[in-house]
Amino acid sequence: MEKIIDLAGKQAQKAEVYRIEKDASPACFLGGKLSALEGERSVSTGLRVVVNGRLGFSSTTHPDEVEGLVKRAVDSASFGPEVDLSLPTHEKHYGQCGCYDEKVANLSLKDIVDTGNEMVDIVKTDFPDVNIEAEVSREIHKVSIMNTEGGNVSFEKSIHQSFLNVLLMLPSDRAELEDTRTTTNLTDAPQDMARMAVWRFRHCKNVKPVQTKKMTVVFTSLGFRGLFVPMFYGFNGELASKNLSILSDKLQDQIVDSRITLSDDPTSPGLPGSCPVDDEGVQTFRKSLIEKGVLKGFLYDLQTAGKSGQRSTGNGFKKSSLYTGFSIDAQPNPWPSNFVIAPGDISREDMIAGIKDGIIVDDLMGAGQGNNLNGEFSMSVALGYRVENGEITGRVKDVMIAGNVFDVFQNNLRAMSSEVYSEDTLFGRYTVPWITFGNMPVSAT
Amino acid sequence: MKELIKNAIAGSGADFIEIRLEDTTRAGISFSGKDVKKAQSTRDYGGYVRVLINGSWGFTSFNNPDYLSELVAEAEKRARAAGKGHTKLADVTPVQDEIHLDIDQADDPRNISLEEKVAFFRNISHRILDSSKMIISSGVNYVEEDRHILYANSEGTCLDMRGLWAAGGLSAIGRHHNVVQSVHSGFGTRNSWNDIRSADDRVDTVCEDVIDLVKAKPVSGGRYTVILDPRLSGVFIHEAFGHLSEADNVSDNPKLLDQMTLGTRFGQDHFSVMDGGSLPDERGSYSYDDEGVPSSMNYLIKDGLLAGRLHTRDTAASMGEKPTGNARTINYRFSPICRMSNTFIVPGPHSFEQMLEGIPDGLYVVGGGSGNTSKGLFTFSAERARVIKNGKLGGWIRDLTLSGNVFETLKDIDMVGNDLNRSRSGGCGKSVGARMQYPLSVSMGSPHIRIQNVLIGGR
Repeated sequence: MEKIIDLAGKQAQKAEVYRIEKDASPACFLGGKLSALEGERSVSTGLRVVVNGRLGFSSTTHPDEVEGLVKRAVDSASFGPEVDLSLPTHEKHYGQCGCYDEKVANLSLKDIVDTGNEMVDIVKTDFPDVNIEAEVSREIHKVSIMNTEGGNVSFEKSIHQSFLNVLLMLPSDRAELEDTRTTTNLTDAPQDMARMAVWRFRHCKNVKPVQTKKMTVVFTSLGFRGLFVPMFYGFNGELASKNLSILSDKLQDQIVDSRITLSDDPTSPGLPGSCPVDDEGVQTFRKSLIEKGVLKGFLYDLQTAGKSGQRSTGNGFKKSSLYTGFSIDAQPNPWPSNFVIAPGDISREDMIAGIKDGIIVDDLMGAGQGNNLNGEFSMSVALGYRVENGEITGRVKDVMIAGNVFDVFQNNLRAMSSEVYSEDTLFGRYTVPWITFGNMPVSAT
Repeated sequence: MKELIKNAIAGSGADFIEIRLEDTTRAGISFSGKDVKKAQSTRDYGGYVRVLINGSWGFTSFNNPDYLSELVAEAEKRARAAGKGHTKLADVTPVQDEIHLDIDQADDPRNISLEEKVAFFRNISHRILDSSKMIISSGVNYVEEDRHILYANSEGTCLDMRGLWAAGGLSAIGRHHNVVQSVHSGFGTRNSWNDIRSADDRVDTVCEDVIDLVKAKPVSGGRYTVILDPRLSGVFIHEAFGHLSEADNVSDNPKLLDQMTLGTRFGQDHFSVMDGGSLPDERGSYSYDDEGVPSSMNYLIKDGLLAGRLHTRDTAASMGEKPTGNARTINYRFSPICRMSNTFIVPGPHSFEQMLEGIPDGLYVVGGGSGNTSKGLFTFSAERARVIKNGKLGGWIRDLTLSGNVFETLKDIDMVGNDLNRSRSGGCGKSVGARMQYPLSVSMGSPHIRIQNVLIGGR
């Protein structure tokens, strides 16, 4: 890294090297049986330079490449955007910090396989005929970021990830569930996810009809996936500064129900998006986005902060689009770390018990496909349940829901559960309660 | 490097071993409005070792091939730890081949300077933004990928392959009162900068379309007779049916397999679907797949009956079918899995005018958004639609999604057009476990098609 910084520093006003070493070992299960043990050992390096006020970028995964990397970055800077990057200047080696758990690091191949088998067994005990695809993985990331302004940070992160896809084939029907749990520490999230799958499929034995009308709708933490994307687009600092966010110009306004408090919290131990610094080396911190219904702020990385006269909120993450995760060849963009909605005051059971006529939305198809910039969602319910007189009475099928996420949080919010759950989705990570909306249009199809 | 790979293979005690080494350079340019958003050039270098021992896979992905024999040992250790599995590989004839790029120097996208490319795309982005006050933002992106793959396995297959993909898209975002809408148009090539230059011709259409769209009415949901344009119809057949044809989705699932028995009726007699990597120079074309199996061209549905599916050597053997050359990976970080290549609805006899005739109340649905499928259920968003009243096209409609059950919807396709068109940009995503493999170069093709009784969702 020093070599790269030295060489780049001679040709550029500013330079920043990002390096990630990854050691990952997933165990894959197909048809309920262990099918492959995989592994990745990688070292990837990204280089950003500022030449004549313009930003250039390159990356490499070649272990020895220095000159080529620097040349490509410098060359691309001739055409890059004009930037005002206030690169961080602090030096700190966080080491094995709050997002590292030795117990995860020490997991053996056998431990990982055992966990996968346990998940399969939990589901199979109640549903012997389901088809199960599963994956359990242990990953260690070592991240170092160094720049020409004196910034020099590093940290280690451990990741314990489990994935479950369960397909229940019924005589004329099928129910499918896909869920991922990710923590930085060792927990029983995999087993809990498997038990939750059993809970879900118990309600799939019969189908209950639904008529097109307005009714109570509960979003589980999994179902929240469909609201997450149109919601976080509103908080994107770049969109806000360009007046493209639906929340532009609404700072300090009451934008949703006063029971809603939403934060971006990268400091919470165990949560998958936690990290001491973002991918630009900026120290991260918890920030309120909505406090008691009032809009408090937007998310910025260095580049968008520089452009809009703001400070980075430590949300510069190397993810280039909604449908891709971290990538070494992505430049930082403002994304949420852990999107956290504060819990409500009613248990999940009491929440359901209080519903006369409604549905629970558990998994969706078409999440993220609405007009996200407008805050709109429109999805079909892939897995959902009918609630009648306080009881779950069966599965619902062929149901669509649509609306505007900020509208429903303003006008339709009824209750939030006291329990919160963390989900790790392709779109991002969030921790939310189950949320009930009243009087929401549901279309039966 | 080839010697290094061959030696590592020779030194392995696995039942089967394959090694892939990949060196990809990628140039990316994007504009947002008048600002260049990024100009970058990156290199992705690495490989994997995959071994099969006692029917179980072990896989190690790496960046540094200097220690190849250690990496082989690590993959073997994993395969052994996985115990006795049930994987077998379908027989294929070993091949040794070199695939070179054969491109006219003057028209080679790689020979166009970054300066010229940036100027070209800047001009497009500016023209979109300046075309109307209603257009509040514009976007252009371009990615050029030059990939060199070495592949060898213990059966004697040895391949040295070079491939070029260049593709992008332009978009216009418009606003009228509180309605914000975007319209997108993709472009791409395997070998010609002139193809990319044709993006210029799309600027006016994109601008006109987005202005129509922001003034459009929201759709009222319900069931309609719809005509899908080739772009959306291509997305539809890819998402709703193509993914279902991937053999790894059904091979371990006897009940789903039952519904996917070859010979089962899937559509009306005039309806056929094909997939194949062997078409020349399309976005999803290649000579050999990522297991070294030659690409081919196959019917997935022929004259309405299920006729084939997409295989890796593993799934072909387990289902007792022929390998099709559809084992693909997006890069060396992942094992190859069953993927599509160039998927398309085979053109039929009908003209667009014939399709319009006799529709009392329908929609002409245009432009593909993203899609989602789950073992036969599908939902995806469309860019926009026009009302059809008594066989005549009417005003624009916005914010629609289409959804349904593919087994039912395919049978409701009652007319297939004669105007096949394939996508030249975009990519396909597929998750294995928690990890998404996106974007894979594929093309989605179709003529106009007419479908009865489609569920349209909206606000």
